[in-house]
Amino acid sequence: MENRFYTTTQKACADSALAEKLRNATDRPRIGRETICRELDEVERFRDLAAGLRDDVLANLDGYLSDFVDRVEAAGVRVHWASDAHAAQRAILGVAREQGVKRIVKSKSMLTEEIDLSPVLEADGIEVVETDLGEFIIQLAGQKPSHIVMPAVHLSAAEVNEIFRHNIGYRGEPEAEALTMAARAHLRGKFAAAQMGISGVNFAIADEGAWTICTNEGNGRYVAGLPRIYVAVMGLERIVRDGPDAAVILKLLARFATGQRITQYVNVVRGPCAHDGPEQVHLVIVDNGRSRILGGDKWSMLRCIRCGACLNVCPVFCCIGGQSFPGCYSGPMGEVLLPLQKGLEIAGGPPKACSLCGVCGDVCPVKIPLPELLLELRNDLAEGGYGSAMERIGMKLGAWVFQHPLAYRMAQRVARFGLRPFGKKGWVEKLPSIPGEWTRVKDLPLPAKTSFLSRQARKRGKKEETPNG
Amino acid sequence: MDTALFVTCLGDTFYPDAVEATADVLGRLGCSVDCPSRQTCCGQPMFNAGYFDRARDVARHFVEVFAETSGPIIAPSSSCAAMVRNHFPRLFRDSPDELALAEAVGERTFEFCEYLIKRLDVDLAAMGARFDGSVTFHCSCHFRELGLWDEPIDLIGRIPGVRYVPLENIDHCCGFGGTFSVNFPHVSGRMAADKVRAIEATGADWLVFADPGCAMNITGYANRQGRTLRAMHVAELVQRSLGG
Repeated sequence: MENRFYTTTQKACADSALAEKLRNATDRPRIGRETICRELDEVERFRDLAAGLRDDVLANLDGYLSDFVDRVEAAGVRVHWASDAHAAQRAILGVAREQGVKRIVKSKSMLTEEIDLSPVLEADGIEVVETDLGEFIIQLAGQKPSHIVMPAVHLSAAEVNEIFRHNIGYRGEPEAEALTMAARAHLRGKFAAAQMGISGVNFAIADEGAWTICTNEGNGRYVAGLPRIYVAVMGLERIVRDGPDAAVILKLLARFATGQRITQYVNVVRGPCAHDGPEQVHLVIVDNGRSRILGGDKWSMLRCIRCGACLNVCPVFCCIGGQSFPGCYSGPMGEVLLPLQKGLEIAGGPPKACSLCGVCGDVCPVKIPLPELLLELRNDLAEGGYGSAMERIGMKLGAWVFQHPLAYRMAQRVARFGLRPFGKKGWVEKLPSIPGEWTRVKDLPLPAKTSFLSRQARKRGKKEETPNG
Repeated sequence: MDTALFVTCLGDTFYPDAVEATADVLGRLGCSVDCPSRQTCCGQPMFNAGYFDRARDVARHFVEVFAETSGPIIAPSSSCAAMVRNHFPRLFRDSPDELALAEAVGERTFEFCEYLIKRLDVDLAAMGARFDGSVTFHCSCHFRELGLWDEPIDLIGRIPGVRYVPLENIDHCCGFGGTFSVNFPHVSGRMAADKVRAIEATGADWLVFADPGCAMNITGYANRQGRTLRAMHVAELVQRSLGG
């Protein structure tokens, strides 16, 4: 996996247009977040508050979940518990088959990406249409999201134009507004014809027995309100205690995701209603590794509210984008979450694809210690024996050398003499093996002729030789 | 004031002049500078690679060496100072005796600019400092980790004659990241490219840096691209301004 991740990052880095698009696209929410957070004069207090209330939920998750489920069931919602992705797929497919559903509209949901839902439904002959503009674009293009909040962030208007021309017969101008209107017109018909709507859940509110869907396009309320059957899919940790707590999270979510005070639409769903809306409301509560993570030492990752702020500031993400990652999550939160969900052997690369600059931890609205978690994951990788033999030997040898000052001096000398034949005007341009990874893209300075400590030793030696010195 | 010099392995090996400048400046500021000869590395390469056991062995050696010194321990590197101050406690969390020793050493550890500004509040003008030239500064990520921000710029600003040109995205990572730079060289190179572009856009005569790792990365990338960056450590800038 590590090698494949290396190759995908290499490819992404070779695409300089990608970096430009990622930078432009992430700058807007990043600057928006910085600007709008200045309004919350106590943004640090909000972050502490949010982290605290997420921790309270995680510490008492079973209680909150059962309260919540009791309330929504009393309101007529049919609740399905899914231990893993397959169980979630089966539950949703089961409802669709039972109800003879052939056409589904979806609003954006990273959880449905995580459980790989659409291919399973499509394999059963069901048409599944993504209705979030970004998701709609990448669905037509047959791609996966490049960002957890802005899934088509890697595509330019010209590229979207090509995708629309080939897939929905678009013949208008290659310009964002016209393209958006074309998507809107196309999707209206899909909403009207759909028999089932599927959405994610931003937050379930335990003591209200309700859940929220936040969108900027209004597609969430069509998905939840128009078709005969509505299925919401939620991760079992996506719950808050009460309305005031939900308000804190919502305040932070939009600010940290897109630099908005609140998303254009915040829908609150309480279940089916006799007069209007869907006849059936189903809620699929998905574990898929979450309770295992909760029981481990990296449970704080479950605080995550999927705002994407850590992606927008991550210098690695801004070079490679989300499609390079071995899963639907990306950036710092993905580097932590993917190995926790999929196992170290599957996702061994991501925790290492980080320069540990620490900026993700500084911006996280719920104060997840992302850099520390990445370090701990690297420790898990090392202790689990996932490192290469070369790396293990290198670390062992290095540690031994650093514990023996004489060996350290010798190693410096060996390095200097060893590198000298490769050197040109103080720089080394090409090296073999692991150091050769450095010289793929950069020159390496030659070690100084005399290290500082050797200089000191010489001075000391001279002093000792000089009487009265 | 008694101080101890935390040379750092990269400083020792690749930038001895920067370390020498650090010692020299401390001396001119009236500090006695003890340089323990048995020091090597703080263990950060092993720690960042996830080899905590190996890092602990190296950290133990570091703590032994520096426990024998007194007064502030000054490093010409924010990342090495952060390793000792912020991460040693993690390495020794299961060993209370060692933890206490490591924390005592960590509390005494300072980055060079931090020490000059926050502890000594140096008045370089009064010492006759002067440097004629324009400089820009790359702020290493670990300044954030140490809870520092504009100390280096404050220090540069205290040198009469210096024209400081702010670097765009000053705190964006340069792409070094220790083993990251060899595990994902292309990503690292792209980050370095952005940094070099920003540095060149300032038009400054000098790039001033505070971490040898960043310097190797940034100048190494620039050199590969056939561009020469004139770079010096912030301690060298202070030393030169004082006529060193």
